[in-house]
Amino acid sequence: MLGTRLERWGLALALVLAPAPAAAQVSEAAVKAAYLYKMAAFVTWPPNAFASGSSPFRICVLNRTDVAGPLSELAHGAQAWGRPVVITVIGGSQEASQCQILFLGDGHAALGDSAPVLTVTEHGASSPGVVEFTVQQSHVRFVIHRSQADARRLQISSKLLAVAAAVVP
Amino acid sequence: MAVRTSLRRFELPFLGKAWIAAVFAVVLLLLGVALALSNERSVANEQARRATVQAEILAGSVSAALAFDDQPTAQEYVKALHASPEIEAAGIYDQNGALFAGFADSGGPLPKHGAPHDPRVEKGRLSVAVPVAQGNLHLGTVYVRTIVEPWTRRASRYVAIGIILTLAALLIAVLGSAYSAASAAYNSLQRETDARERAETALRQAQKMEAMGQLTGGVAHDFNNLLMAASSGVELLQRSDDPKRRARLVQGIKDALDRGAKLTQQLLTFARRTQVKPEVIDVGVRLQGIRDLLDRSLREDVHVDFMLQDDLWPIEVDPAQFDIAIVNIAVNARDAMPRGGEIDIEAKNLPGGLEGEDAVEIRVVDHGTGMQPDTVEKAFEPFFTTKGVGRGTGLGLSQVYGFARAAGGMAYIESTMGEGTTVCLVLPRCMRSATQEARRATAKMPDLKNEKLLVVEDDDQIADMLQQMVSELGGRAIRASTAEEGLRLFEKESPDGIISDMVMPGEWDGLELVRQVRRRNGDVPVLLMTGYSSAAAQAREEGYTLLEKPFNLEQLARGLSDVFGARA
Repeated sequence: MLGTRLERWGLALALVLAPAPAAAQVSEAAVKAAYLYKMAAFVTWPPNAFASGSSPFRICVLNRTDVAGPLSELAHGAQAWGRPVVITVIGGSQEASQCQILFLGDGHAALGDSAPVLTVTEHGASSPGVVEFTVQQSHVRFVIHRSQADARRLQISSKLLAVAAAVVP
Repeated sequence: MAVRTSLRRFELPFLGKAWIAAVFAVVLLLLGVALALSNERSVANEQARRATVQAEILAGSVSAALAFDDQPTAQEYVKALHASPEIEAAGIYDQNGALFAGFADSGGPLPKHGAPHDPRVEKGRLSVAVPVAQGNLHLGTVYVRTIVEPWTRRASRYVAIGIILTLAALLIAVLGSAYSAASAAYNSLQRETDARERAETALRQAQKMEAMGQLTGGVAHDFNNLLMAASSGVELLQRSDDPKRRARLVQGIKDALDRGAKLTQQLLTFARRTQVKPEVIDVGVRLQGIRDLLDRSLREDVHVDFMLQDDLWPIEVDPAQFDIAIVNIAVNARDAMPRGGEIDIEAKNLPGGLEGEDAVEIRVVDHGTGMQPDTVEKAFEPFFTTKGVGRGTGLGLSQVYGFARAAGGMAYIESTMGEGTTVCLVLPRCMRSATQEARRATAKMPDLKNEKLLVVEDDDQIADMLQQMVSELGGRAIRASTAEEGLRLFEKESPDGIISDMVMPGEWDGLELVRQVRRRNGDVPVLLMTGYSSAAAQAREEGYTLLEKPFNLEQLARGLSDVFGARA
């Protein structure tokens, strides 16, 4: 009886793990675009993060058009926190403070340490953002820097913290 | 015919009550079924609700893992559900409906495609699928499948409940019928007890009459002597002029009449009571009270001697039954001494003499023929007699035995052939003191202070005597000859007290008169007189003071002092 149960359990696990290779076929840029888009739901911004009540929810991408493309597709007609989601590709530091999420890629942007912007950097960036992408066993994961989030008065959902590859205090 | 009637009387209530019990049992069963059905429904609802909540909890916690493609974390979450035994499968599906993580323990694999749906039951399994969302993001679906308790198992549970209910119903039915049977038995027992009580009352009456019959001859003889003394005294009185001699004659006549009155009174007391009514009595006083009766009624050649200890303890017995018992023993003693002799009546305290309790022992000793041992053995049995036909009924000593047992004591006989017999009564000591009667005897004789008394008496001679007695005591008397006249006179003259006969011609008797008076004037002193009246008991019960006829001046004074004293 117990044997039968274990066998079934094993079968179930095999079934569950089967779709994993399919996910790997998606490009890394597309995965990162999807993550950037979904993160909006797991983070709470302070009220002064938006210029006005009608300001859109802005996700900015610096120097990474490969990510900006799929992101624009995802955000088409979408809403976050009751605001329309707008994707902006920026080149300089002048527009960075208007963003709610800023993907810096490998570049840098002049941004105050306390500006309420969820900064996202690639692995190994000289100054990592609130979220730092990483790759584990060919899966895109991320590390969360709590001190940065606190400085920017961003509340990170415990659910997000739970799936982070690491949480740096 | 009689048998059939009594059977029906027994069975009808029995069947009636059993029927009620059966209805009650059926109602109980129906209630049980209704309860089971409603329970079944609420159990199903509860199970669906539980599965939905489980799925929602999983959906809430798995959203980030689904959003950020973290399969191991999702698997961790879904595995937590595996611990609960009723969940046999759970799955997490991504936003495209593809399986992301999950397990299927039994009952078939997880569905290939996941989409939200309400709880539904299929093949004994309940499944539900809820959406996974975070903010505006739709992230996927959580699917949970639980085992519904199999129909057979539920049924067996209900069968168990049903059996308990049926047993309860049966118990009610059985108890109901047992109760009605018991109450029928109780009723028949009650009837039997009543019949027995009536028989016992009749027996007591018979015993009393027996004793009285034994006495009648002696009493008649004695009475004749008294009449003789009185009439010859009157005759001599008429012929004599010497004041000293006349005074002596008057005293002699008075003594004879007093003795006669006493004797009649004792006989009346003897005959009056049929109810057993225990009172606390002083054995010495009581025995002295029947001394004359015994002394005069037994036989001239039989002498009764009393040897009574001082300070005898009181006992609680029915006084009339006590008297009858003593008379019965004495009569037996007399009959055992055909050539006459002495009967000794002794009484003494017996500390710890009755099964360790204090008691009073009364011994009646004769010096007659004695009894054979087998006669002694049977002497207390009813209807056992050694006397010839027409001389004894065999109820005498059985009354003695019955009386002693009823009083909580015992009776026994010691006898030696040729030497005599001793009948012994051992009666338990009573811790209360004897009734008022003994104490009342020592009450001082009062004087009236010109009080106006209403005398209600139909007999002119007695009324005349009463009026004289009242004025002798210092009061004034007004007379009415009927109760109605008495009431009129009471309202007109407003006297200080009333002395009334019980039995009178007219619509009202004395009792009704004093009731009417009391209703108008609550605390007026009332003294009722009676010869032998069945209403006397009723009057006593209502708390009136009774004076038994014939009475003398002293007794009247005592009665008046009682009723006037009670007011003061």
